[in-house]
Amino acid sequence: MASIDSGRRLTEDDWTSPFPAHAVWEITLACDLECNHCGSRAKRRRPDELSTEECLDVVAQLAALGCREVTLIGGEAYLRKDWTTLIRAVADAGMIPGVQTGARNLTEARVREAAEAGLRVIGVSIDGLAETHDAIRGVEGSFDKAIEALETCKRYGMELSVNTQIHSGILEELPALLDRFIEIGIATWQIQLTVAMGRAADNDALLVQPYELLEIYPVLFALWEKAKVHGIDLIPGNNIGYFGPYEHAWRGQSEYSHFKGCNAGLNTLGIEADGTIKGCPSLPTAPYAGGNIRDLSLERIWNESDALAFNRTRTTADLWGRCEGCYYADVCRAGCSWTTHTLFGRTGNNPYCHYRAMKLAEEGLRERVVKVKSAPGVPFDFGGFELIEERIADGAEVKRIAATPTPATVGHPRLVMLA
Amino acid sequence: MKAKGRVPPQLALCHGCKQFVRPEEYTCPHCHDDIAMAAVRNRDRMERVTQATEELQRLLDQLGLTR
Repeated sequence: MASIDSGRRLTEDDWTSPFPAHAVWEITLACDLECNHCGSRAKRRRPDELSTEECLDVVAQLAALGCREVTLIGGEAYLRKDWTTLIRAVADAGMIPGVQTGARNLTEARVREAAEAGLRVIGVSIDGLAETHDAIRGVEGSFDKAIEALETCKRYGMELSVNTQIHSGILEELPALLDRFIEIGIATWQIQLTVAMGRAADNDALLVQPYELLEIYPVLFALWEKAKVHGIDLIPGNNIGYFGPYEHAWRGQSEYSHFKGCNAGLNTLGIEADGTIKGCPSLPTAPYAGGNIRDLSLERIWNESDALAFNRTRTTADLWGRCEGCYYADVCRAGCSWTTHTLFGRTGNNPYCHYRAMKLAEEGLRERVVKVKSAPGVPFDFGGFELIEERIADGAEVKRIAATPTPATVGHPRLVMLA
Repeated sequence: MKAKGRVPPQLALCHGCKQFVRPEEYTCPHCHDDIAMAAVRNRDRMERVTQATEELQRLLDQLGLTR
């Protein structure tokens, strides 16, 4: 089995010859939490989730494509009775198995079974101190359960990771959270901005505003520095950035490490519990489903689906708004596709950008997003937002941009069984 | 047929403002510093930091305060 570090590091060949180095797999939509920012609106299992046999076939196909790491998510992965069978299959196939969990019912018995099956990496989602976390997760006591699960997993020798969403109510709680994580001894702390998908699109007050990045990122950087002293790697997720004065530090270990654009369909693959394949697990289903594993082989979907290839073929020509003509345009390409598509129904213009917020502030301007259309209420859905550019001094609106989905970026043809 | 990817452009770091710049730049577009000179100043600064750290370690050892 590959080491965890070598499995995650991308080489130049990895960029030019795309393959799914890291797959994130929703093995069930069943969930024991009721998170009010959940992009997939997880609660009940999908009616047509893959069987164990079908899942084992997916594992074999992932291994054949050169996949290095498979992270099982949900819903809640442990609510599938065969979850440790899948962990063992991933490990036996030479890939690194990981699990991302809310951990409400991740009991010691489950941790022991998972460890025996070969689970080496566990990520627990924690979105604030107890009161905040429990409110967001919809279940009282879920924070204590998450902390308890981390401690249990540590006793079983797993590498501990915490995932935290940066939502509108968390900033002041982050330093105390880090202190707690230092006590526990986690290895990595991955942070990402809450994105307007699923229930977060319903509860849009949870979203931070683009101009607030100027307040948030210095705090995150101070936390990054403190975490480093204590051996914790604070990792900015793909929607944290971009560029600005902290990029060189928190994006990697050298002065050559910087954000290089959305990775969906290049080295990342997402699988939904019914076998739907996407280039990234977070992307909205409707426009980014490349096909279903029940209809076509994973190799064909990966190689032939336009919905998965959009990052391989796109250029800066699809950038718009302030991303068009940006100094970093051809490197960044408007950052996280998930973040932008769920706001505006298309990629190519990302107001959640540190560099952009700084440049705007130099001009006395700032940006905020306003919901104008509700999401329909299905997993991985999104509504619609307008982008308002306003003067910092008096709040006067300077510009309002309503995105219109373009045929080129919405509704990629889904591959289906051919003759 | 699988579309090929692209190798993302590799940027360089301006040590004057710690922001990334295109490798062909001589003057930082962000802080307007001379990028080569800023790199030299940074290297000198890092050498002084290393020397100071080593001296501090030597003194701690001398005083028996090293863990």
